Amino acid sequence: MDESFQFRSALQGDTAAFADLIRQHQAMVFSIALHYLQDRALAEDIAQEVFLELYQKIRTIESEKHLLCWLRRVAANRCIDQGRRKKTRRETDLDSLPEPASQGGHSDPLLSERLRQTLSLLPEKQRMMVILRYQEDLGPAEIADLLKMPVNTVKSTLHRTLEELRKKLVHKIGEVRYALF
Amino acid sequence: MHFSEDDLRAALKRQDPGEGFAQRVMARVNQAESAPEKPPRRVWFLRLRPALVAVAAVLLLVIGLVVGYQQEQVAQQARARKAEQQAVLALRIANAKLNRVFERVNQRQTVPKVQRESL
Repeated sequence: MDESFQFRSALQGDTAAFADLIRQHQAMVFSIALHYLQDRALAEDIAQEVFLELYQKIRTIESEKHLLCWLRRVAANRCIDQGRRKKTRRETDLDSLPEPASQGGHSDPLLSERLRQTLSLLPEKQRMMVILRYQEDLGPAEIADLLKMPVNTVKSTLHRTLEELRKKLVHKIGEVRYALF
Repeated sequence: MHFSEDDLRAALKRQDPGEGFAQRVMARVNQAESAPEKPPRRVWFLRLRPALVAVAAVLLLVIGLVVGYQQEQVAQQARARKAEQQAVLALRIANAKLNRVFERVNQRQTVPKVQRESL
C-alpha cells in the first residue's frame, strides 16, 4: 500500500491502515526504547503505549514527516520518564540479545554488546542523544528540536558523551587504550 | 579493541519487536475503546477543580480584606475615642485653671474696696 495513502487512511480512522502504520514504524519506536531501557519487555510496553497515544492523537498529525518526528519525540520522552522512575541500569540478559548474524555483516557482536551495556550507564539525556544520533542518524539540530535544547548544547554534550563512553568502556573492559573516532 | 562511529551505529541498529506487535497494539486500542467511560460526575469534578480552587482563593482574599478593613475601622474608632477623652480632660484642666485665675482677680479687685471702706 502507498505510504501517503496509508497515512491518510489511518488519519480517517481506518484501523487496518493504522495497523500498517504501526508495522512501518514499530522497529524505530521499539529500538529507541530497547536501546534506552535495555529491557525488552519494558521496551515493548513503552512502544505499545506510544502507538496507543498515536491512535488517540492521530488527528493532530499533519504529515508523515510530522508523524516521524512525533513518534521519536513521544518515544524519547516516555523512555526518559520511565528511566527516571525505575533508574534501570541493569545488565542485558544474554538471551534477549540478537544473534550475531543479525547484526549485519562486518560488525563485532561482542563490541556491540559492550557498547550497548556502556551506553546504559550514561545519564538520561546523554543516552537519548547518542541513540537519536547513531540509531536514527539525526543531526544535532534535529536532536535539539526533539529534546527542546539549544543546538550548541547538543553538540557539546554529544562530544562530551562520546568521551565519557570511551572512558567508561575502557574502565569496563579493563583495557588501557581505545581509539575513538 | 577499537571502535568507530560505524560500530556505534551497528550496536544501535534498529531491531524489530517481532511478529504480532501491531496486533497486540490493536488489541490494546480495541480494549481502550471498549472500556466503559468514567462516570461523568468525576469528570465534571476534575474539570471544575481548578475553577473551584480559583473561586476559593478569591473568596479567601475577599474575606481577608473585609476582616482587615473592619479591624482597621475598630482601631481607628478606639484611637478617636482616646483622643476625644484626652481633649475633654485638657479642656477640664484649662477650665479649672481659668476659674482659679478669675477667683484671684476677683479677690484682688474686692479686697482694697473693703479696706478703703473700713478706713
